Formats: sequence, C-alpha cells, structure tokens
Amino acid sequence: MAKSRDSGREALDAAMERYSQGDDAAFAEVYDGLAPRLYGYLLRQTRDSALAEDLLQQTLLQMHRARGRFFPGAEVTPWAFAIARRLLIDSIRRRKREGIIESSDDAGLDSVPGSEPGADQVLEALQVAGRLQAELARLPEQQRVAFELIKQEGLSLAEAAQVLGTTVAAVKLRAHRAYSALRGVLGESGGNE
Amino acid sequence: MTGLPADLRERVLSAARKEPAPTRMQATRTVAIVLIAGFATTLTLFLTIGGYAGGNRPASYMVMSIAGWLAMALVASWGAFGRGGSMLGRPGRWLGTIAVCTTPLLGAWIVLGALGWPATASQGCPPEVDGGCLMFTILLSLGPFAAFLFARRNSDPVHPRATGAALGAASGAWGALCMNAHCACAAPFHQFIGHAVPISVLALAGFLLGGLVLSVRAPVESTIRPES
Repeated sequence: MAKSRDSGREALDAAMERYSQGDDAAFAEVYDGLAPRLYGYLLRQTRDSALAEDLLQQTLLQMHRARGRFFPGAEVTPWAFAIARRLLIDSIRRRKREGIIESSDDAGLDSVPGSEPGADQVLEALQVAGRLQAELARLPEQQRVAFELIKQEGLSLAEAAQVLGTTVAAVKLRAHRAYSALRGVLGESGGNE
Repeated sequence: MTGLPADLRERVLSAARKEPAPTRMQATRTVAIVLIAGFATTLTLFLTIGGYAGGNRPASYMVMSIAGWLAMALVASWGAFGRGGSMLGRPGRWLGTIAVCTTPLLGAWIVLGALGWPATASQGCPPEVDGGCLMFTILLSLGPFAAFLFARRNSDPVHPRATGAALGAASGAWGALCMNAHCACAAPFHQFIGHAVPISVLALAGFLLGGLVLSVRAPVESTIRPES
C-alpha cells in the first residue's frame, strides 16, 4: 500500500514536472492525481459541495498559473494542499465577514457523510463518530489541523510540516496531542464492539 | 460521500487551456531579467552617489568590512529567496531568523571592525548624516526589494509575511553593503544607525507587504460554473 502510494506520488510529481516544462497534456494527469483527494479534503472542511468545487477549481488553476515556478524534484502534494488550505481559510474569513456563515461547532449525525438509519451497531458507531467530530472541533486549531492532514488526508509528517510551515517535530507533537484527546472520547464511549 | 462532478474535469482543463501560463523556462527568464534590473538599479544609484569611497579607512579594514557585509547579503538572500527544496519555501523559523537577526549580526560585525581597527571608531559624522545614510541605504535597497517581491508574488500559501520580512532583510543587506562601501564614516554608532538599522526597516516593510503581494490569493472572479 505504501509502495503504491509512493509510486502514485512519483507519477504525480513527474506529471507536474512535464507540465512545468510545457507539456500541456500533463495537466490532465495532475488533475486526475490530485482532484479526488483535494475535493475530499475541501468537502470535509466545508460540508458544502458547491464551495468545495469552487475551491478545488481555484487551487488547480493557481497551480496551473504557477507551473513555471515548479522546480525539479519538488513535491506536488504538500504544495497543492497548502494552496487549498490557504484558499479555504480566505474563503471562510470572507464568508464570515459577509455574514454567510456563522461559527458553529455542531457535528450532528447528519453532518457525518454516509449516515443512515439502521441497526443498533450502526447507530452506536455513528454516535461515536459524532462525538469524535465534536471533540475534533474542540481541539486547538493547530492540533486539529495536524490530525486532519495526517490521518484524514494521508499526508506524511514531512508533508504536513511543509503545508503548515513548521517542523516535523512540531507536527508530530500536535498530532500526538490530538490523538490523546480523541482516545479519551473513545475511552468514554466504552469502545464497545 | 459526494463524488467529483462529472463535468468538473473538463471545466478545469478548459479554463487552464484558455489562460496561458509561462513554462519554467519562460518564468525563469522573466525572474532573471527582473532580478538583474533590480540590482542594476541599485548599482546605478550607488555609482551616481559616488560609488566606492574608502576615505581614511584602511584598506585592510575595508576588505574585512566589505567581505562581512557581502557574506551577510549573500546568506540572507539565499535563505530568503531560496526555497530549500520545497515549493512552500523554508520553514517560518528560518525566515524569521533572517528577518530578525541580520541587523544585530551586522551590528556585531561593525563592533568587531572597530575593535580590530580602533582608529576607525573615531571617524564619526554629524548627526544629520546618520539620517541621510539611513535614507540612502533604504533607497539602495529598493531595487532588489521590488525584484524579490515581484519574483515571488502570489506564491506563498503558508507564511507570506515571514517570507516578505526575510526578503526585506536580504534587500536591506544589499543596500547596506553599498552604503558601507561608499560612506567614509566608520564610527560604529553611525554605521549601525545609518547602514544596519535600515535592514530592519526593510524587514518590517516586507512583513507588511508580504501578506498583500506574496500570499496565494484567488482572483475575484475565479469560479467556473457550468452554464445553466
């Protein structure tokens, strides 16, 4: 699994390298390699498919405009996530100023993707997921973001450190603190199976 | 989970096709031209105000002094403008260190020069010259400053202010180098106020401008929606 992930990233980096050199057809490969992950990240953050779509488009177009700056050996994935995150933060701030969104820390069941009514076990799992979401929202932003980038988006520690503009050790510490807080929620839930 | 809309791929690819973007070769050429123009501006101004002037400063002192200031300008530029192998630039701590420490490090170099060549410490200037040198050092720094900011515009999604501050400090170091080569006043206080402090001024300017110029921003009308 790790090997295929690495080869996927190498292929993505190689596609961007070709694109930066002028191979216009390579942008489709960059899109195919990045769009699903970025869209998933943006959708989880915004819970608004139209907004996630807009931000995804903006992210990829920013990368297109900056293709001349992409240098040999650079990694595409942390760069793409950092751009997406920056555009996401700016969008949230703009929407708050315009009064479009309110601060809300609710993480009800209906915000959990794919929730369905069903058997007791499913309901319990959804309730645990809801409590985890709520706890995640309560975490200090630095810890929450580190956790999300590593656990949800699958970035390595080094990649997450690049996206956040900090060191690997700092990201590791933040993620560890997030894990500890979330493990506490699981412990309260009893960990029933 | 909601999947990607089926037509989104074509919309994005189509938008990219409609908006030409420079290739690496083209972008590198543009950056090189801009940097050369920026430093040429500084060189022109330096020669206009009289260029190198040793005055009563010993040649050995000048070699040591210029070598130190040149090294600092080169290191600061490498640290601030270079990206350390990542599209996201160097870590914020590096950039913050460059922005904050360049001025005191040059201050230390000034003190070392005065200790090594005590006679230079008494080569002072009237107070009004302090302000004049400060202004000219800033002016000499503006060419590289503008060039650095242009080259890195709209490129930093992580720490644009830190990058701006570091670029400001690096630019200031070049202006300070020129001023140090020109100004015959070797008194440490004058050198620090008139030549080194402007580096911090440029760093502050870079910090303020970084968020505006260097940050990745979406254009106002950047959404591509299918026609309904």
